[in-house]
Amino acid sequence: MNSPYSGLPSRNFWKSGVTQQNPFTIDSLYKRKFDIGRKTKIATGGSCFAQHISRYLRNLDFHIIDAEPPPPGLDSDSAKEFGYLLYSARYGNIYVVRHLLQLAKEAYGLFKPENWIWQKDGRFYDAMRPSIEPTGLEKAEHVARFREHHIGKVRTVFDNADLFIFTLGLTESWVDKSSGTVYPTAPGTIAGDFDGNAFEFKNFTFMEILNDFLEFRDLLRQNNPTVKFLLTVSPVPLTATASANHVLAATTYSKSVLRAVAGQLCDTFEDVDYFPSYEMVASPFSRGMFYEQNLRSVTDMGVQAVMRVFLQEHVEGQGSAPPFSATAAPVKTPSPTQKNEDDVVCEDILLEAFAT
Amino acid sequence: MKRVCVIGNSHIAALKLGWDIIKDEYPQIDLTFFGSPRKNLGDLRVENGALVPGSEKTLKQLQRTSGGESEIVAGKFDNFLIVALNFGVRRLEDLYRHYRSEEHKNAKGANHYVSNACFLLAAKGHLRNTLAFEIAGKLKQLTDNPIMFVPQPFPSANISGDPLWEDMIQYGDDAPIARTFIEIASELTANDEPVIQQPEETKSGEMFTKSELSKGSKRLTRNFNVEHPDDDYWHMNQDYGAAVLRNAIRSIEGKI
Repeated sequence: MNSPYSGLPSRNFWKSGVTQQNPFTIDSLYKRKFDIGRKTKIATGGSCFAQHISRYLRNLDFHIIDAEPPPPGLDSDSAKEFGYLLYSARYGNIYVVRHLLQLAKEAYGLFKPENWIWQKDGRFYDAMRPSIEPTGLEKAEHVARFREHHIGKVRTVFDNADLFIFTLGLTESWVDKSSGTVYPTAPGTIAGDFDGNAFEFKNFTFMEILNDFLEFRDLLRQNNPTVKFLLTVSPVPLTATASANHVLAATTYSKSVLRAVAGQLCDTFEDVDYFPSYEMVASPFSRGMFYEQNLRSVTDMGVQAVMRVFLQEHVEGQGSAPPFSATAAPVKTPSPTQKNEDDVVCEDILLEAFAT
Repeated sequence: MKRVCVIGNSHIAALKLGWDIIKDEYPQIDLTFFGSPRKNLGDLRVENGALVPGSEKTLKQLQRTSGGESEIVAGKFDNFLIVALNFGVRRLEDLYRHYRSEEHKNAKGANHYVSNACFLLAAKGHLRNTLAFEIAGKLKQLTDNPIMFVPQPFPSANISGDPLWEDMIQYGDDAPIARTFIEIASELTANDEPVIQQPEETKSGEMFTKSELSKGSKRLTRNFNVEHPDDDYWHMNQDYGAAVLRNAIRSIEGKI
């Protein structure tokens, strides 16, 4: 009897492809679309999970573009507090694709955010990246001057990247009603005040996110025609939802939409690849062991397992590097329970303070 | 008798020559100088209760400047002065060259803008990442006796020929830079890492040393008989050295 499933490789079957596989040694989960080598100029951005990827690649001597390096004398912990060493510029976390699109349009002179200088305790913050100066600046004009300079750096990142690695994080966001400007955090979380007349909640749909990314891709390619994209979906659940749904349902919805957008883009374009870190961490495959006790933060062990799969394709697969165990040496192997939440900067964790 | 060990690079020459002028005023103080270029002092290592030179060149320079001592035996001294070794306002050049804070007005060459808080934190780290603090760390392995830092002098008031400094002065960024250094020095002092701040009588404004104090400054040579060139605005003469040592001795004797 003929079946279209007969003769398919073992990776196509749940039992042999998942149940019988070890998350630390799984093969053939990911097949690269294009090569990424140590000379590839990589820009990174996205939700806080992207910081793990960025950190790993940096430690492994991949060429991560850093248009805004920390000043000499700032230790690495302090540097991260000030938004350095997280991504390719000091733009902080970019949770939704509309924010990414806004940033690119701003870099190319096509967009100006509105209502974007927020205050707290008499200090001024850039609402588009509110965590990069933890105590804000003394004057609003300083915030404006700093942002103008920063945007110039962002443009160099977009113009020079061979590859943009972006982690899709959220569908939910907060928007300035009058202008549509999207912010990375809710007003009143890090700075600013929430005013229901000025701001509104927005849960982006599949089509909106897809179209936003298509516009972003077009914009980048107009200025940097050979740039490629590698998408991941953050396995980190929502800290809180502003939708009417339970946070678990909201998380599943959000991640499902993002995963579908990533899949659609990857299936459509040769220059867009998808790396299944989300599946490795969030699916039954890992039996929940890659989450901390809060069932939210990803353990460093989980990040290592994810990066092993990535490097298998992009380093070992090209025959240009020693096995993962050796290349991963710069990163200390943690115990299974070791927490690593402090290693990444996530603004949305602040929402926990609002939980009753 | 207080036995004081003075370790430093080229800037130690001013102190040595200054001490020759004032030592009769301080019969209760005995200073021993250990001088060598910064690149050589980096090879000092901790061994058997002493800082031991790691090269023949350093050994000879320490012997020559100290009157024959081949190593710095920590137990021989009651106090330690660490002179310059990259610790001073000039160290902040590295930061200011590319990074400007909110209070800086000069936009020329500003590659990055940071908050005052970030600039201050980076400045602290950069000042601590100097040979002065490295040697202090080694000394702390050997002794609990007080270790004080004598920074490089502020530049001479007639400094010129350096575009970075000329722009800094033109835009009035010199005073904020000086204040940053003084704030950090005060904080170090408050945290048991005393810094001998530059005597007020040697200063011109907030950021500079009176230009007459850089005239006739001597190199750290065998007989201190070679002067720095006229366009050296960073090394000071024996009068400056004497003023700094008076301040240092007041601190050692607990009068400050």
